[in-house]
Amino acid sequence: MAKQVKKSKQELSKLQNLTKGFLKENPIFVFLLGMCPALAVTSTLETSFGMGVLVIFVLVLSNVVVALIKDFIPKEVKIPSYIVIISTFVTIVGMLTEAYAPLLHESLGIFIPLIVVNCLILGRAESYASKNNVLNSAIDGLGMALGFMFALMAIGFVREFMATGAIAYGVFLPLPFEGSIVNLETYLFNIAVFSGPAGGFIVIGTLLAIYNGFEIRKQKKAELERQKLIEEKKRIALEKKRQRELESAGGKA
Amino acid sequence: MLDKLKIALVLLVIGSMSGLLIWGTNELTADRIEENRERARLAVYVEMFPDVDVNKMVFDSVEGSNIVEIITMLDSDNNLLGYALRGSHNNPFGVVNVVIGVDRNNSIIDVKITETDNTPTYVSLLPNFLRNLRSQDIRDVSYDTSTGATSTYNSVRSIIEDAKLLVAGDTILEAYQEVISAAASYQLLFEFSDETFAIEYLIKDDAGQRIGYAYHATVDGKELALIVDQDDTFLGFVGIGHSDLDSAFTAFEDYQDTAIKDITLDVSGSLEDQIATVFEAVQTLLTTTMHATYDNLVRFFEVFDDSDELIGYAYIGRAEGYNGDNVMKVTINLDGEFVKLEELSTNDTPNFFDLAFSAFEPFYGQTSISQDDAIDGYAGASASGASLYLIISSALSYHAERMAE
Repeated sequence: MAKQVKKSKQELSKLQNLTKGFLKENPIFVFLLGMCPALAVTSTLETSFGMGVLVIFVLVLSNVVVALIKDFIPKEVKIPSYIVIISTFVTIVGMLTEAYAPLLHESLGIFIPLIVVNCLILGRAESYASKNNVLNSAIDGLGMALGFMFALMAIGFVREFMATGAIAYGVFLPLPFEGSIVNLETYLFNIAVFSGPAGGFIVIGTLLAIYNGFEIRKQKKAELERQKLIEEKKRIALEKKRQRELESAGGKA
Repeated sequence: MLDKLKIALVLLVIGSMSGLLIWGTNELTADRIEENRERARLAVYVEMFPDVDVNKMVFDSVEGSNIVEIITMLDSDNNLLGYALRGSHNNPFGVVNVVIGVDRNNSIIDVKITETDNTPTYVSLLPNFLRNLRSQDIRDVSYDTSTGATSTYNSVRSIIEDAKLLVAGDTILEAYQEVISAAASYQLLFEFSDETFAIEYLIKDDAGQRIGYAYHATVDGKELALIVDQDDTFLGFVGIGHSDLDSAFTAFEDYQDTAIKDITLDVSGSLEDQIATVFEAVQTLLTTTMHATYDNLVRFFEVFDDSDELIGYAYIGRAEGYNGDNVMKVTINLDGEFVKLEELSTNDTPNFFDLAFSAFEPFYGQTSISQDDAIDGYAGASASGASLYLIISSALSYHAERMAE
């Protein structure tokens, strides 16, 4: 019985599996995985989104394939096999991007082939897909990649906004329309450093600090709740003890 | 055994499936990718030549140059607008594709990098360098100094230099041909500093044989070249891309076809005196040093000790390093032993160059160097090391051949 309880605690539901990468196990803000694209291609929201979509494609498909053939891959050649699988999907996604979104391809440049060495993708293949079934691996890949994309987009949003005062759309992606939202370029926001590498470090550092600040507050709050609960239990136990003492004293009298 | 076969089989299947998927995707996207690239190039041409009639562009491919295609730009009335020169160059970080727009007066309209594998952060350092090329005459283009993106910068520069040759013609070769009609190509041998003359070129014929040497100098703001044949017989002076000094050159015609070391000049006139200074400086060089007719070597000369006793020979060599040519001096003693290596010029990254340089010091005292031993020493600085190895081994081999003769 105890074993069953433990198992059900470890196994996540499909929804939990999907959403764990959004915040709780976010690849960028928690595990600091895939920092190279997080710094290099997040100068605009659109390129961040584009890279996120490519990573979704590669991560989901590589997780699915690894989960499918995990039992056939000898352990001596696990990593080389995963790398071949991942690089196949990266090559495919590179070709598709160049064919159907050439401006995005030009903008992401060398960072598309570099998805091959994104630790997040190899990490999920090794730590999750090689030990779980196809469906769960696909969900895990999708959730983690979405979390990665959200984090990139958060960084890209802040960087583009601080650097240009606007958020443009339809520039790099093959959208049928283009323009910009929240256009405040004539106001305060025109800090060019945010579009450069230094800006990437500043924004990632700041967002990490904010994220960790929330996490610490949450932990403190949970700790406080726990303390309160313990105090409450102690108080109830003490009251019960006193009541029992009073009852026994009354009985004697 | 079965386990190994299983591993091989699994890897074979995975590799085959990967290949198949990539092949399929390539089949699906290749045409579209090529169309996109073509469209992007066309957009660059139209941006450079807004009045061009895209249906009247004339495409001519070029071989043996960093320029791969010249596109003649005509407007709808067939008036010549200029040329777009499409070039491509490979550097250690990948390919750099460039389009150079030149108007009909040879003035650069713009230079654009259309495609590159080089690191984007470095490529983004180039816009100012490219912008400063605009409106310059391509036949006389001058460059800003290196931008911090040395490899990409050198690639763009190589492409522009080849474009310059195609647009302007090779003024240097044309000048040499006035004196040596068989001159078909030339090769940089040495760049002098603090000398009356600046550059030494080797002149070759169609078959790649050495047929002479040229020494470039500037007199009265005009570039000239003193030309000797392969035996150092003086053949004459020529102006590079001009004939402004031709009248002054006539004073030297009497000395033509004489060994340069046997000539005693007797000329007068202000320009003639300046040209004579160049002549005497070259004469001194050719009297005190000898040409080294060996790949990767430039010249050699005798080395004497304090009591004027011959103690060995110094060989000057040049070979391609990581960032252009390295020029080195290799000293060999009378026993044929390599005794000293000195740097004359290098553009390689100092840390890597120093690592490679120090890897050859253990070979002092040896009469030959094996490539395998040398490679172990300069591992981590392969381009610089390979360049130094070529120079030192060439010097040792050439020295041994000379001594055997």
